[in-house]
Amino acid sequence: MIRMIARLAWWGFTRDRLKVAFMILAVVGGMAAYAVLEPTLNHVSATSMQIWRTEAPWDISVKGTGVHSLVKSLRSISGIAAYEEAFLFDAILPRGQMTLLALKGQCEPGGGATPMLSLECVEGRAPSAQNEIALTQGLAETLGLAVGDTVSLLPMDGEGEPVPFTVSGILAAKIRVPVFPVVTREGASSVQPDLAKSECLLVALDGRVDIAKVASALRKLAPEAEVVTLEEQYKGISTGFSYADAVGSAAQVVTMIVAIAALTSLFFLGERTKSYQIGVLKAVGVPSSWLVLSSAVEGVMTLSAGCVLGWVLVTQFYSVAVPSSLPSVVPGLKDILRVLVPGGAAGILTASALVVSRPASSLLRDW
Amino acid sequence: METGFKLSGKGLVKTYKTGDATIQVLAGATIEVSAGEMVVLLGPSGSGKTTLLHLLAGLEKPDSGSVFVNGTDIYSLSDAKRSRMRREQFGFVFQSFNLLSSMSALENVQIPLWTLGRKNARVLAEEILERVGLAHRIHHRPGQLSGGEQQRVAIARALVTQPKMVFADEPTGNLDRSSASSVMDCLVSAVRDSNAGCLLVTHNMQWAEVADRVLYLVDGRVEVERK
Ligand SMILES: Nc1ncnc2c1ncn2[C@@H]1O[C@H](COP(=O)(O)OP(=O)(O)OP(=O)(O)O)[C@@H](O)[C@H]1O
Ligand SMILES: [Mg+2]
Repeated sequence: MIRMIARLAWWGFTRDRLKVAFMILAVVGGMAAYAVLEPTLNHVSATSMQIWRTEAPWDISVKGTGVHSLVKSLRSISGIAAYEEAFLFDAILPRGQMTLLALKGQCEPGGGATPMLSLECVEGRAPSAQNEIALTQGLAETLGLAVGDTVSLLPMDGEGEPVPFTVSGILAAKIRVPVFPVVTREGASSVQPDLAKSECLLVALDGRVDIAKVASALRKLAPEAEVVTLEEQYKGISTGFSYADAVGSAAQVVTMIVAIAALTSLFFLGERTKSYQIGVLKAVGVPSSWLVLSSAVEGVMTLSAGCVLGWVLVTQFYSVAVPSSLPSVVPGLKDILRVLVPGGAAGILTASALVVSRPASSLLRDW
Repeated sequence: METGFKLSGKGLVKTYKTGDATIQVLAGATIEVSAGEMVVLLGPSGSGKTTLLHLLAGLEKPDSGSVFVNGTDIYSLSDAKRSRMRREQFGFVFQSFNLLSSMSALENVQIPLWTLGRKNARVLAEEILERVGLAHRIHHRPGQLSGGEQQRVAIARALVTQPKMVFADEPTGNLDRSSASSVMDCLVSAVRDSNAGCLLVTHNMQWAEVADRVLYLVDGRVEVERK
């Protein structure tokens, strides 16, 4: 019996190539839509949620000696979307005390590979030499400074000499661009010789996690460090995300329904074209349950083939079409199989059961 | 060969309702076919021949009347038992599209044997395909065979399980004259060889000559003489 079912299914799958090709195409389409939708919507909402980050392009800062060594442990905390190793230190400018930022890596316009921070300038460029500084627009206006002018920074302990900096650029007032003056790491150590004290981890959350939870996890990780949360700012972000998530889930459900409906009707039509032959098989005495089972097996084969093919295509598409800075958008095959295969198989089973349940005498009149 | 097999339908009535109209197709048809007997059932198009064949073969329940196989009322059996009886004792040849288009001739003939769980399916199928003259065509798909060849494959499939009773519904209905005769010869000799009973339904008077008995379906009843 099992061999007969397997045979019928295998023949249906391998010998009616055009029909199967169309079915697989439908699975690939449905799957691609389903799979691409989630990461894409996530990315879009993550990008647009940045506008809520008005105080700083991050949600939590962890400042203290040696915190950079904790970077690896950040992975164990869930809900962290991005982070940056940086230095935050205070210095005295002509108009008083200010907080300045230096990145651990190269300070390049555009913020290098990280999507979290950008050092885009409206004029000039990001600092690249030890004696260069980029100012925010507001600060440049207040101090009456333009690109190429010089400004002196006095260390906080008041003991060192003022250090002269040349204004290399004016930071854009844009999302992801810091609202602090920015210098290079070398520039920072010329004002703050003990730079390890200013080590800082800047953390952006995914908008869904509870900020207090992450903060307490970070406090446990770095008990000596100073953990600052930007809670007001984060509230706006998480509201936005819960709305975006609802829209995203709805879109996914709709895609799913459309995909399954398309598959079911394709399969139903496929069975309909075979209805005379199903009638012959029933007349010959092949039990209906075998016929339904073989259709189901054939359907699962089609679905699996479509899923695997679709997954490969989607992954390939992503690696070609999406910048490598977004590695997390590759969809999980497991998630897709979990939804598409049971859903599709149920639809297919319904379709074939509808055909097979008709009496042989009526199927035999179907041509 | 076993003798004593007998199929009989008594007082078979079948009515179809389509919308408001009711068509009485069979109005108390009675018929009997025994082992080794070739019965041809004639009747004009729409007279209910196919319907009667379906009732006798256990494919469709009559409104009233009974069908007996060796004295057992087949519609008193469960669906599964009736289906088993069909695969063990009956063979079918229909007008066209008899074969599964995705399978080769050889595979098509093996289907009833697989369904019965027979072990030597391939050998039996090859033998019978040779007997119907298709030894050189066994790996062809139905689409690669002529209509006459397809019907011969169908005949091989109907007879490969050595059924006691063969039902043939206009097996030459879609064929031209010469391939029709060769298919009919093939069917008759195969049925004769196996000593099965056979009910051959057609509206073509030409085939009356192959029969042991000729019956007519007139006004929903089976008659021996034509009115
Ligand atoms: N499922 C059904 N519903 C309604 N009417 C039906 C149904 N099946 C058959 N009929 C009607 O019953 C009548 C007899 O049909 P049947 O197919 O038995 O005739 P037939 O003698 O085999 O004709 P033919 O020689 O053309 O094959 C026809 O008028 C047909 O329209
Ligand atoms: Mg008919």
